[in-house]
Amino acid sequence: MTISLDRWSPILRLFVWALLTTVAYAQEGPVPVSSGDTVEYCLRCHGMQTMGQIETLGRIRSLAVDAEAFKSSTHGAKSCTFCHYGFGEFPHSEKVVARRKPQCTSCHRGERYENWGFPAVKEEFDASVHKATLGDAFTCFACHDPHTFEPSRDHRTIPLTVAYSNAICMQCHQDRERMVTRFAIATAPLEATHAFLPNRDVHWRTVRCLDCHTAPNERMVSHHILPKEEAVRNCVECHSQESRLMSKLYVHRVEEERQTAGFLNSVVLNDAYVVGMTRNRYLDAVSIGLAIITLIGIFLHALGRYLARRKVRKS
Amino acid sequence: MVAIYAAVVLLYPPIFEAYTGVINAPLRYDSSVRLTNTEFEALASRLMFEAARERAHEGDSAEANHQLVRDMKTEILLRTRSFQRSTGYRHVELFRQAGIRQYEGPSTCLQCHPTIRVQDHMGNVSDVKTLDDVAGSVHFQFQRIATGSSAFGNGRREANVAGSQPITVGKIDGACGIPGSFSWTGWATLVESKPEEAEGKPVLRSEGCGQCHIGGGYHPATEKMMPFGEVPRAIKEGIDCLICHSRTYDMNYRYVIQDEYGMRWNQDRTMRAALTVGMPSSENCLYCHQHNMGGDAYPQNAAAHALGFKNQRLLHAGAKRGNAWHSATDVHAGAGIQCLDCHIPQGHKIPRGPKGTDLVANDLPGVEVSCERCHSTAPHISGTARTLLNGHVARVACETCHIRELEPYNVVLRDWVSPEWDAKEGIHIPRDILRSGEPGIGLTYLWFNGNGTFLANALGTNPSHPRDYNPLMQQMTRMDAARIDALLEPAMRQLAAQDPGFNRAEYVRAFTDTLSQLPKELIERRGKVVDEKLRPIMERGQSRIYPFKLFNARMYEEMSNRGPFGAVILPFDYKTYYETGKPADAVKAAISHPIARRMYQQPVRRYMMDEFMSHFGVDQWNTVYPLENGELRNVEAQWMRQMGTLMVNHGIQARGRGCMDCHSPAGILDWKALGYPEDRAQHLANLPEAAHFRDAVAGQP
Repeated sequence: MTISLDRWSPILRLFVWALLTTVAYAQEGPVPVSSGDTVEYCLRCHGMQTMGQIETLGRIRSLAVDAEAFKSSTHGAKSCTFCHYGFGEFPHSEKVVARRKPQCTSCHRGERYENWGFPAVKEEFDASVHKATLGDAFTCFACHDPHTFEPSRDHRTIPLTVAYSNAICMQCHQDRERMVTRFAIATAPLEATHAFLPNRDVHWRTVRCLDCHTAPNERMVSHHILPKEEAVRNCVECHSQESRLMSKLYVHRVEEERQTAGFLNSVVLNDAYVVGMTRNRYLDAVSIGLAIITLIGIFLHALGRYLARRKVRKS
Repeated sequence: MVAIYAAVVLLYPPIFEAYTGVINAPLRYDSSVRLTNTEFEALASRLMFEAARERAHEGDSAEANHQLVRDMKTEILLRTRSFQRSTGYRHVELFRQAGIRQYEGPSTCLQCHPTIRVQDHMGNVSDVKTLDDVAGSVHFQFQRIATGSSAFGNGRREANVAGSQPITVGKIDGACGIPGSFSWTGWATLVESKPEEAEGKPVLRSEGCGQCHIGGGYHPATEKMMPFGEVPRAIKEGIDCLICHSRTYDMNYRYVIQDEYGMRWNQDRTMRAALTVGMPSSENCLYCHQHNMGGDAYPQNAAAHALGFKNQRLLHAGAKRGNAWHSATDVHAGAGIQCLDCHIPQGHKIPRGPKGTDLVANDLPGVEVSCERCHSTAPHISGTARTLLNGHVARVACETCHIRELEPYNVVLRDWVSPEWDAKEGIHIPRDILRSGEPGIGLTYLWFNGNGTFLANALGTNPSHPRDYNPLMQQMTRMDAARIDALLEPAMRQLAAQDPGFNRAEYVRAFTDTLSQLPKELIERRGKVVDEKLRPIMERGQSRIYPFKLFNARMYEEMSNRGPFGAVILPFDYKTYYETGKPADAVKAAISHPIARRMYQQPVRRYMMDEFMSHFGVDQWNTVYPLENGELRNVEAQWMRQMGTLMVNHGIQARGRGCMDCHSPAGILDWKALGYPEDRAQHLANLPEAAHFRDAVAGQP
């Protein structure tokens, strides 16, 4: 059973904590040799990068937390015991260890569920190919490690956003062995399935998997991962002025900026130029100008020849 | 063009030999004897019988330990078809068919194995010429001119990187802590000993580096140190294939022989050894390598029980590392794991892993040999402390906990300048001032990223406090005088008895505070070199805490070539040293060798010595020859300016150390010396959680 206490008053929380732990230790287990509720306290052990154990042959379950990544994650201001309630003592009591792991919805429920857009996420996820193939075996944690989770925001450059997002997919999709051991699914190598893509590696570096593999929506991210048959294969969907990427990866880029500055705009400065998507109005003006000048030249030349001919004929 | 090439090929070898004084000549071995067909068949059945008898003895229980039972089992096995096949002496039949009745060295092997197929660690397969493969290996050359060595110069740069003067790295010219093993002057020699048993009658004994190297010549592969030198084919015919490949090699054939050209090492070239060839097993490797692990003194050292039919090899007292590879002392050996299971060979090149602090050459510098390759990064699979122990893997090497101590006869301090008389062997031997395998005395713990200096000092740094860790100015230059005082007592008493003017305090100070031997100016320069040149190398990669065997030695040093990390160590001539017990005379004899003289001349200085010495922190090779009119010039007896630290990786115990061994005030780790600030060191030495696991140890529930 999972308990969320964060909405209770601190005093009540403390009281329940004291009561529960007293009862727990009175009933079972060794007396704690140390306790604490700061992240630093927990990281004394869980900060060791190789902390973990082999669960089944060939699979190590890591119990380590990367201190830096956690601090910059969206949950970085929380203490460990905020979610892992009862783990503030060492040794951890067996009862606490045996409890169900905290879920996203342990906290993100009620108002929090609504405010953080979880209803839409759920709706999309329920329609996704992940849910369809793997059902309940596929949880939020399959992709999102709450200790390092950062929402897709606009504060990072586009290459960083792409790298962060694609790393999540690649945890499984590049590790075919893991796909087999974890989900019993055999897959073809990504290089083979993406062989049709010109400049494949450039695509992988500069756009997210999600940009082709999710259904369009209004937000930057959709959890509605499409089956591979429905993924984008038509170049023009991105390589055009009405690029699909405008409503996806570049959704937060100022549209006006793109319109006015053309391919010298800030998108380019972010290393995210997409052929066909952006236009340079100066180049347009120069081209039209050149065309007009050429036409005028041809006209003048013809006029000259006509006049010269007439003169010859007269004489 | 052809004329120039012919001139080089024909003229260079005699010029080289004349200049360096090395000898090359056709090699002959008395053990190589032609058998008649009858003798061949008798030997073949004898070998099968012995194999059957050995198998019959395997797994004998006490009650079955009856002679008749054994004989019966042997008899039955001999008639068992699967046994006949699995005994694996395949070459009996092959030799029988090919009509091979005499083993004549490599030429016999090459009849059928002119090339071999080699697979590298990336899976690439190629066919190589067998003899070139062997002659190009470190086992033959014990040197290498290549990048990728883990040795870094004290004060200059990585060896053999682009733009630098190429130099050989390896034991052939290594500044060894055991100076007698300078391979040019100590390759093969006969020593006249006067053992107690023989009541003063002289007994000839064999000594020299060649006893453990597969070359059979009169000197090591010296030619390969020159840019276009090649070892003559006749000398390559002296390569001892069987010492690695025969399952019945008799080490009693390994002794020094003297012929009309000079001294060299004999080999077992009997058909008895040749008929049992196969892939090398651990026993083959250990004929030589137990010498630098368990040592000659290790009771189970097989080679030490087969010293020679004559001119018996001298055993070396003490041990270089004191961690034996044997079923009694190493869990992997106990499990029947073979050396080549971890050191996976690529043809005749054998990986030793990319890490190392010694100057030993590395055939395959980039190829990993590690615990993790089999055990993963979560090696502890049972017990309450398993996840926490696994956590330590990121910062602590497996060996740190799983080698709890070295053998007690592990040599820590050896004084070559004050020899002692070994009455049993009847020779003068260097005096071991201190032997110990105990943590804090003979074994220490340092941060290590895989690199070392040219003087065997582990490089690495504390990942969270890199600036406060400075072993080359701290722990490697000091010993806890109070702690070892009682252990030094016997040696101190002997030294005082020999020399009435012996000053114990002064003597002890030199090795408990090695920097006291350096003038202030050099200490300052040393600090600067460490900070500016070595720190960037220390901070490379990922450092973990590893155990290191500590050692220091007092030797004669040539002070004209002195730097902040030490001076040039002079070699001893074995014969003079052992027989007379006069170390200074032994040095004179060794440096009178032509090749030692050549080192002090311009061509060798240009070609090698300036660059080589710069890696020891000596700016320029001073060519003042240290011997003048029969007297040593500017030579002093000194302890090395820092203790050497040798990696120890064998002698692995399944039951490792427990939490309290480190995380308690009396723990084996000196947290402060490891670079932790005072408060953090205090904390690490007093972890409240450690007590909870008081009884939990690595490798046990």
